[in-house]
Amino acid sequence: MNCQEFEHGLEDSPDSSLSPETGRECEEHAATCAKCAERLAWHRGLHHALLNAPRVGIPAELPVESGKSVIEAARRYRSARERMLVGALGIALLGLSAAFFFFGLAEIARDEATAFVSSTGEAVDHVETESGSILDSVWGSIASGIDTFCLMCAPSTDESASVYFALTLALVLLAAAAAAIYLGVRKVGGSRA
Amino acid sequence: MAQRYEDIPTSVILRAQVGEPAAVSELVLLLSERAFSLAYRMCGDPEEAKDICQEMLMHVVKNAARYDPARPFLPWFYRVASNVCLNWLVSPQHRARAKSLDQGSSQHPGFQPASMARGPATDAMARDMRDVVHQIVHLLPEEYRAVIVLHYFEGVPYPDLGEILGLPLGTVKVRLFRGRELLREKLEALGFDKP
Repeated sequence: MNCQEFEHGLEDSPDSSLSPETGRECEEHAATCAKCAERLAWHRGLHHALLNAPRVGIPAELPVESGKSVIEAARRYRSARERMLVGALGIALLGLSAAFFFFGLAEIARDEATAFVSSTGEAVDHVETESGSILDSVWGSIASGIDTFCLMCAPSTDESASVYFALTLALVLLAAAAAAIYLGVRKVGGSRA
Repeated sequence: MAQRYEDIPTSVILRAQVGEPAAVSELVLLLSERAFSLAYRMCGDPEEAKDICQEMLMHVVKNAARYDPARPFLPWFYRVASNVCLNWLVSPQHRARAKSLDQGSSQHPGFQPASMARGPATDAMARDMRDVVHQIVHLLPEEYRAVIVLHYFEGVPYPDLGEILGLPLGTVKVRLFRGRELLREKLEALGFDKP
């Protein structure tokens, strides 16, 4: 072993714990080289001094202070996470109920649109019969456009509007009940803490 | 003496993971000494170490759900704790504090020059390298300080050091070696001519 190889051996571990073979070779080299012997002595001395350094005394109040603040921080963190989850669920329920509500409105609009179109069609027929003028033809085109638009807007479904409104009401009640239970549980949990 | 590298009981960790207050308290109690020791060795200031220690423990409790109970707990704890510590040491908060301390006194409070500046021929107690070396570790650059503190003071074995710091074993060994070299230079500057 030369001085360069000795340096690599010293990097491995100064007390030869990782590689006893390298440690033995390092010792053999150090016995023939004063500079490397000094370096080996330094690293071993430091190694043992570090391993046997006095332990740090922990301030007496620290575990209590840390315990309180950590538990409080953990509680706040969980509470914030719960609020976020409940909020997301609430938004989802309200969004769903709003969708059902608009389906209900659309159902009514479809019925009204059908009635409107039939009455407009009768009016157009009447005007065409009476005068047959160009102006009347324009009015007829507008009326049939409204007819098409109303039928496109209204969903073609057989469900009645009342079913949609009942679903809306049920979801809103469910959201309110969930919110009441959540607030009740939190209040009980808070009073226990 | 280095702390014994014994793992925390799994039952405590599992109960702390679901936020049971008694288990969180117990976990904090079990980890406080390790966290404070690591923080103090890394920053060298007992007051700042308290703040870092609390920050470490909060991170551990908040992220407890991410810990995999099938694996040993201490490497996970030291990974979280050393990340918190290293982030703290580069934070503006720490820099401002270090600057104000530097202006207040020429030395860091954790560094006790009185016991070390006596020279080679004086007090035999001060000549004991063990008493001095742990007080100058925080003066090392962070990359060397972290491996020295974790390995020698916290008792973390080589393979776990690599996992905690995200380094290959070869790099860990080189950093330990260079850390010892830098300590030797500092000790020689303080009058320690022999180990």
